Amino acid sequence: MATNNSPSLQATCSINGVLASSITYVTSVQFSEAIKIITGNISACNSQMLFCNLWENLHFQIPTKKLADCPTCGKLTFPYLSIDKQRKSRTICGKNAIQLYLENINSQFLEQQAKRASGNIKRKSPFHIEMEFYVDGIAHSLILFHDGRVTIDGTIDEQRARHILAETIGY
Amino acid sequence: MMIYLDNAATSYPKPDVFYTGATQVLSHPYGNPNRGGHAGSVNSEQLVSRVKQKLATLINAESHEHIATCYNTSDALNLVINGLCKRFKPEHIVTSIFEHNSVLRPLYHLKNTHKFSLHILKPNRNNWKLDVESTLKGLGNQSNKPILIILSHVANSVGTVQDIANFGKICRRYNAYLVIDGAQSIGHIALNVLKSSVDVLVFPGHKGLLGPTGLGFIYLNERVKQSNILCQRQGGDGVDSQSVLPSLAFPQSFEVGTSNIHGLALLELSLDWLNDNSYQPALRALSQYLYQRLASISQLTIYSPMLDESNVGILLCNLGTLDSNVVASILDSEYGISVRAGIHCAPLAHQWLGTIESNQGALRISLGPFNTKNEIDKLYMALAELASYS
Repeated sequence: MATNNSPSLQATCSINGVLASSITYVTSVQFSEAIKIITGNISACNSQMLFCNLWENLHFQIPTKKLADCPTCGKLTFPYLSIDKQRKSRTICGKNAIQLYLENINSQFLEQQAKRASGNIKRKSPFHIEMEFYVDGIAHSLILFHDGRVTIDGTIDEQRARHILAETIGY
Repeated sequence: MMIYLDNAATSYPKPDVFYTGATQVLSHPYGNPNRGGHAGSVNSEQLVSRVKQKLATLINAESHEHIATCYNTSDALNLVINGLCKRFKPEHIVTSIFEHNSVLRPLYHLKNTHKFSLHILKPNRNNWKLDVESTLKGLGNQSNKPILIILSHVANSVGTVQDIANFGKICRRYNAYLVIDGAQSIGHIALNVLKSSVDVLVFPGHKGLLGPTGLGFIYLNERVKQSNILCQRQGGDGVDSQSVLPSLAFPQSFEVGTSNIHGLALLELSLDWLNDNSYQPALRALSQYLYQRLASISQLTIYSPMLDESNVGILLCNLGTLDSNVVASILDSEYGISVRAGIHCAPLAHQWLGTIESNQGALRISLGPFNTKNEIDKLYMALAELASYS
């Protein structure tokens, strides 16, 4: 089901900006927890999930517990870190372009993207959309397929490609 | 069910016997050939000789001792090009725009260490033939160093077939050595190396020969074999082991380290199938059908010429102004059709065709012995549907 919370519809940090103090706040808490673990004081660690919204002055904690059958914290199999989950990027033959795979996209992926960036569309079919964007002053073509494949033209560097995706379609 | 139309990259499927016989050949006790006198080692030595003998018969080589195994065609080309350049120090090397990067890259790399002029032939736009004779005549080779001619039998991009026998005759007249890249031809079309005066032929096991990946072959004719070309790779070959100096005796000198014995055992299954099944006329008929069917899509630009009946089932095309990678991706994800997009490691051919400038690359459809008219009809329908978005 497409929802308003779909990753493809969310603005990213690099689009909306980040309140610098929120980074300091989070890293300060995480660092303190890490020191407790390293020094063997695990009982002093916070076992709850901490929520804070510095802008609206909201702070609360959510109790959490390990689920025995959770593949990550219960069974420690870490499936989302496994290579099977990380479909590899590949360069495109004969072009300065790279193809990435977007995970967890829904069946309305193309439609949502077409709506979101209608002014950037160069060509579309029921199976793909070709879009053009300027990122950091450089023109990049993006070709999106409804199975989550996306080709980014103008780079073969995966990190740069992911930056372009974040800046343009919010992935 | 996947429709596989990328046989120029690697053949699929293989003959049934390749799969049904695999367990048996892989469980056979094969030892390390030329590395001992025990039964397993002898099994492997016999296997290597048998496979080479079958290959020698296929290309009409003098004997199996004129054939060496290596890892793949690129490996073979690297060894041959480097070995010939070091041995003969040619002042002129002639190649063509049709060549794969496995020819072009070793040559451009060699220019850093060897002094030679590189002549890159372009085909005649009407008949797609390369004019080797005019080039050799123009060079007027005055030195006693031979000219090196390195050309593909079949262009991996567009599928055009060159007349190797004619090249062979010309090369003999002009003190030139003829090296043929048979990556796309061996198995699909006959090549008689002796009659065609081919000096060196390289070819893979996994394309037209329908074998496994990981095998390439080098044929040297008698005059090259006797010239003691030094192989770039050095190591144990099971011969003259008391010496620390490199071996010069072909084929052992090119076969350092343990050969791909299991690959050769699988290839033998395919070679026996090829010997009993003449699929080539059907493949040519299917190529004609593919060409005629796709030619009826007005938005499709077909680059490959259908000039004669020797076509090996490679067709290069583009759909309107669509990026070939887009078309290939959609054919794969929506229609289950596997084809190859891009420039096929043949940058000069694509430059000549204008498909690099257009930033499209091109779509290569390549058939194998097990493709059917029905599969081509499905490809036609998919491309015809996509044509409206081109």
